[in-house]
Amino acid sequence: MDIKSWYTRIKAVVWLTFKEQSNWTKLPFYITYIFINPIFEVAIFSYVYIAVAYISNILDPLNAFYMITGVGLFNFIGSGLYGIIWTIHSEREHFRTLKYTYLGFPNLHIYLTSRGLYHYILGLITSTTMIILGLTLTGNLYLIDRVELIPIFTLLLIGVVWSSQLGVMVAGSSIYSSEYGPLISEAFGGILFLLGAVLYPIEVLPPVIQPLAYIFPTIEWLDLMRYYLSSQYHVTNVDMLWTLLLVKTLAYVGIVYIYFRIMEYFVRRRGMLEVTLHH
Amino acid sequence: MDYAIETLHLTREFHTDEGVFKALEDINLKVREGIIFGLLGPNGAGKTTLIRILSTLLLPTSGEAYVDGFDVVKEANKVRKIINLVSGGERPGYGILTTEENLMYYAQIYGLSRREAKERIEEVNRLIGLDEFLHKRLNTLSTGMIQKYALARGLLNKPKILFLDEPTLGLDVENARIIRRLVRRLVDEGLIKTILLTSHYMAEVEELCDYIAIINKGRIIAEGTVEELKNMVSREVIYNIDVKAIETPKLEFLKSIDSVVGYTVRMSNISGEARIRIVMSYEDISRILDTLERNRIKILRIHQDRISLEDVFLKLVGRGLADD
Repeated sequence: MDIKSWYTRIKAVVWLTFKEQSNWTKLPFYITYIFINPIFEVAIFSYVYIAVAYISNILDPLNAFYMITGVGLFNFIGSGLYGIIWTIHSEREHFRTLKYTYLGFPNLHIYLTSRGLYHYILGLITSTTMIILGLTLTGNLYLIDRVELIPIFTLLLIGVVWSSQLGVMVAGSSIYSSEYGPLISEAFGGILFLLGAVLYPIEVLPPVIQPLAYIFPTIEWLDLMRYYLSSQYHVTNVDMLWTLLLVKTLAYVGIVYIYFRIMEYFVRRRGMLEVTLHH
Repeated sequence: MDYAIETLHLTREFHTDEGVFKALEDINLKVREGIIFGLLGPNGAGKTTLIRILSTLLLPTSGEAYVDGFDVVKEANKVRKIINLVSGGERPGYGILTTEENLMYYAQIYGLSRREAKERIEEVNRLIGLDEFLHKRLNTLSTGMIQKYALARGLLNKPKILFLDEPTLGLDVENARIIRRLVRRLVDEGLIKTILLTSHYMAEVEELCDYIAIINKGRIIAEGTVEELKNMVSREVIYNIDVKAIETPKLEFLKSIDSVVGYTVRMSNISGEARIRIVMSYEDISRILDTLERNRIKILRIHQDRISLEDVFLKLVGRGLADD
């Protein structure tokens, strides 16, 4: 494997994603734009917490920490995930370059993963902003008292691996359907947010759907992230969480590799690389 | 003998609401290295489907296809490394990027370093002439410019085999001529070893291609050099008859004349005239003129013409390439 060539390819894809995202305006406006949405999102959740705490007279700083870190960290995962999934739609419908990408880039699976990288970089900056801002608004910034950089950095990398593979899996499904591709993408983001222990522990979900939540590594990933950010956030078994997270991540890598190969075969079988809706 | 492209009983079916549609049926092609191979056929004949299969974008329903000896189904990655595709009427790039940025991007995803990519872009620029729009965004280019860019993009990875799918589609006469000249140069100067070109423009195929296959309704109906194909109608007589504008269906009666092998009609919106080109199995012009007059069709001019590829198609299919 020629590492230099792959580095060039991936760098070019990250650059393309930046151009695609930012081409519509000047750089200062674009920077403003990328911060506005996350800032307002975390502000809304912060004031929802404050309002509920005020009405119910229950002020639990850890609840705020749980919610704010959940929303912030999900923003990191979601940014990359959406970036990858949306690539199929934008390349096939909008730019109509998917077939040329397929012919030029040696591996569509790696191409899609690379398309997420820019979003992860951006997501990291906006997520950090969201967590700091949200905890400041709710008066709980003091809870971030641990910040163990090595495990956090490792978790971020693992997060990129499993969420990008989830993105590739959904992209593999959406590539098979030009008509329902965007619907699949949007729906998946919602499901992950609902089942991912983002705003609340999954125990509050109806028992019937709780097992579904364990399919995704979101629970372990978010729990460990929170644990390494605050000494006041307790988890029952750190080693078990790491084991589960690694096993699930590896499983996703393997399953998605096979799944994508199968989908690629069916896509070539049906000639879906070039199919557009002409809308 | 190893061929640049070889297909064996290649068939492709599509399942539609109306049933099974055979886009390609039992295609057996052998394309030698170092030539421009032309695939000539009307719209919907199966030309693009064949290119899609050979360029690994689509799988065949049955049969086999090899590009430079690599199986397009089982060794698709190896095929993609040595080919490139240029399609007419498309914009193979990102409208938000300039021509140069697009070329740089594609060169890099082919694995070229930034320095190598720059050199390669300069090479293709010297060959094709992109200076005028190198720094313009792709979404601001004219059709002719886009097609030049598309050709340049198709050369970035120095493909051994280049697929050109209707490369002059939608271009004006001058731009089509420029593209044709470039295509010829690619093979003559050894920049590309083999080109498979599809077209429904007779003159284009006749001018560019060393060997031609005529495809109709998913089947190869004839193949050979231009001369070999023309020899297929060497015994026939060809007449052009200019008449006052008519509706094509009104000429159905011509089919009942024994000597008529096929005919095609070209309308001229400017002069209000129509040209009927008739291929006859034997000299029988007086009978045809009588029949036209009896049907109150005013004849303006008449002259015998030389054989063209269109006449081969007329003889084989019974209608012109442009007739739907």
